[in-house]
Amino acid sequence: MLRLEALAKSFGGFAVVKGCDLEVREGEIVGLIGPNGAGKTTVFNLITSALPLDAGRVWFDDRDITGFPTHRIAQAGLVRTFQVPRLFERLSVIENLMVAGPNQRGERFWSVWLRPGEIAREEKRNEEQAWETLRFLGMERVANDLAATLSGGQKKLLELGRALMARPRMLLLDEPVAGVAPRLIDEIADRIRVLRGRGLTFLVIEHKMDFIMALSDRLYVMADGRVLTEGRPEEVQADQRVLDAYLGVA
Amino acid sequence: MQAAADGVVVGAMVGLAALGLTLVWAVERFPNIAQGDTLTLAAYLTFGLSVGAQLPIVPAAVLAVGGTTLAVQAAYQTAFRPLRTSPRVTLLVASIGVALVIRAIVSLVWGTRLQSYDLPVRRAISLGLFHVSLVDIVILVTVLGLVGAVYWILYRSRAGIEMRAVADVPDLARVTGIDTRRVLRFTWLLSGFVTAVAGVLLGAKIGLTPLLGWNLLLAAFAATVLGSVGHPLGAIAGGFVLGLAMELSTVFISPTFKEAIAFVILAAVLLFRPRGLLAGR
Amino acid sequence: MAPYLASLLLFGGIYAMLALGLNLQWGHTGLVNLGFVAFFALGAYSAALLTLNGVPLLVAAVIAVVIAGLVAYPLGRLTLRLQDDYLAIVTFGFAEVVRILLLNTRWVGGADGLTGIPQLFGPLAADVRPFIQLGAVLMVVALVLVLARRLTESPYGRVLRAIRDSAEAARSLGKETEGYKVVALVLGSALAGLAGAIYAHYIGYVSPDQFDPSLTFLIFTGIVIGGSSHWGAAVGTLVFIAAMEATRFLGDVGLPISQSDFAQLRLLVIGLLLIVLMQRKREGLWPYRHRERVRVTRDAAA
Repeated sequence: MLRLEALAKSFGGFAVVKGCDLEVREGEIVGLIGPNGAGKTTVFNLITSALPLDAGRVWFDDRDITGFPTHRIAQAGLVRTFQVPRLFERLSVIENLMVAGPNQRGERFWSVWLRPGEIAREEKRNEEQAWETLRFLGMERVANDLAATLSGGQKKLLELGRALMARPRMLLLDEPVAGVAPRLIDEIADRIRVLRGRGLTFLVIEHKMDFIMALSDRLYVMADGRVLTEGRPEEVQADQRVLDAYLGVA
Repeated sequence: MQAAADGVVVGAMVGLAALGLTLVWAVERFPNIAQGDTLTLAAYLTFGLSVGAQLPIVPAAVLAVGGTTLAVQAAYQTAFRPLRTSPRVTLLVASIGVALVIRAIVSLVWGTRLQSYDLPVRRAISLGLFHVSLVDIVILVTVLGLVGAVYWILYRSRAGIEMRAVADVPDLARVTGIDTRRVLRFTWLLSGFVTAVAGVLLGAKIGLTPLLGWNLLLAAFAATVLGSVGHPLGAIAGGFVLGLAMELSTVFISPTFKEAIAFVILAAVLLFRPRGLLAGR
Repeated sequence: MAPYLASLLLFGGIYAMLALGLNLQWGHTGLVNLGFVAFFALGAYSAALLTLNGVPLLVAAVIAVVIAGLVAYPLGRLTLRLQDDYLAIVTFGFAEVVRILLLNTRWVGGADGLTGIPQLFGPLAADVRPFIQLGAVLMVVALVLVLARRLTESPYGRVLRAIRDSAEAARSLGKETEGYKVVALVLGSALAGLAGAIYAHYIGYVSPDQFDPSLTFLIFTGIVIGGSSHWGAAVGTLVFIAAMEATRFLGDVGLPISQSDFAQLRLLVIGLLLIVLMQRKREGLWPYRHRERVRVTRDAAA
């Protein structure tokens, strides 16, 4: 479903990603792990064109989306979250979700003036969807709170919900459980599995090993800008090179 | 020919102002609107110390540079540092506030009349096709020396190398354990110092009004963008281009439209080469 | 006394319109337009020049609004695909250029400006005219308020506020942010143009010193104090400008401070307020409040 070919990126002469090849098949949950500075988040930024890439190709659904503008990639069904949640802090929780609804008529300038009835109906459906998502995440009670007032874990959850509202076919999650309370971690893992059951595909960056090992079908390990190895969780755990990479042995 | 000579001198000062701007812009990631009024402050401090307090011009200038550098550091600590986790655009707005505060204080202390330093006789030295004054030579020598020093600091000293690392890849800097707070303090110190020198020189070349630096701000922005934000040599080169373009334009059109030339250059750069001439090296 | 009051209220209406325009840009979309006053000036000068050359007042006003909006368009296209900083410096530069051009162009009157601009409802008798003028202007303000609310209450306005809070997140959810920003810039600038046209036709003359760059910062401070709700922005601006204007009378009651020093003190207050507000109260006194949403479906009761 998603295929990366030889992605590369350097900043001011410092190569951060040096040729990353990776493939995620439809319906899979794939983990992306590696020590700090391995280039994982940069790979996400390259996939979504948040940063221009130096070399390589990105295929999504057998379509070459390399260099597409960020919003077109999201519209194609590939939606990401951020390591540090980027919520719309001064919007309420439910508005954060509603704004993410794809392809809304009410977001077109002329429709605002010319089709008020249609927009009102669309908004009702959109709000319904947002409540559904809130219930799925167990966040109905904070629906009208400002996003800025949420706890770290709730922010992660809301960002997941917001990405879901965009009706993606695949999600790129950047450390979905970093800084999240242990009770919520199991909850998030459970939600991801439910979503996979509904046909969503996942690529997940995470440092919490027990979480990502239990969740993933397969894992890619990155170190120093390259993919070091790939395999099922138990294979990766048994790989001496992975351990070396984490311990900083080159 | 005379216009070209003036252009070089003006360009040197625009370049220095742009250098101060580009350092902060690269590290803090916002264009400091107060840059223009910082120039003004340095010029008026020199004026106040030399004409008001009757100090000789050189010690007055040195003290003014020191005072302005400290003022910039104070502005950083009180106005900008508390906003370090806020969106960058709030820093931009706060810098407008700083600009207005500086301008108001300068106007209240020294008034809004046109003033000038009390410099010894300005003898022009004729060099064939054009002539230059002693002030012009002092400006050029100072700027070139200062650029050399800044270059050495940025590329050879530990503080400068850390500064460039933060500017290039902030996350990388955090991972490698660079003390960001120290880097920011140093950035503002260096930027303040460079700007202060530019301001003192500006006051020697042009008469002082509270809008002295503000009027140069647009040219400094254009020079910074032309030379790519974060490129110190680009800022200087951009300054010379701006200075020459603005002074040479006076041969053909009224000098009142100099600023319009700066705007046209800024717009053209954004249209054709938004990341500037030196980006992507 | 009554005509004086009417004139105060009318100026209030003009400032309110400026506040609504800038609030659409900063309060809702997060755009920093440092040249806002230039669009006000463009509206005023366009309306003045057109009517002085025989164009009917109403037509001239409409054209003035369109001009102010159209001029904003290329500035937005040029800068808004880049980082937010670039809009700020380009609008700053644009305002400087407009100021210089107005000062130095003969056919727009240079430093003297233009006089003899036809008055709103000029044919009416002088004793009723101020009140009819006031009524008309307040109606326009009310209409603008209704339209602005319609836009910001819609899903469209929600996208604008999302862009303000994080353009990157909005993009990664499939929103084409640049187009939204350009529209907010154009609409806000067109509103400034409208305010300018009304201003020119009310006081009857325009000159460069009426459009001092510090007016942008004055209004900016006003809307930041008020907050991003339309009422908050308008009221905040009016109260702040009233307070600043009131200092003009302080000289009359015998304080030993000159008028020009007062101008500097006002600048000092604006500067300090901007810094403090950014640090302490960025959302202002009356921030925009979105509708409280309550779940109303059948299964909610269960």
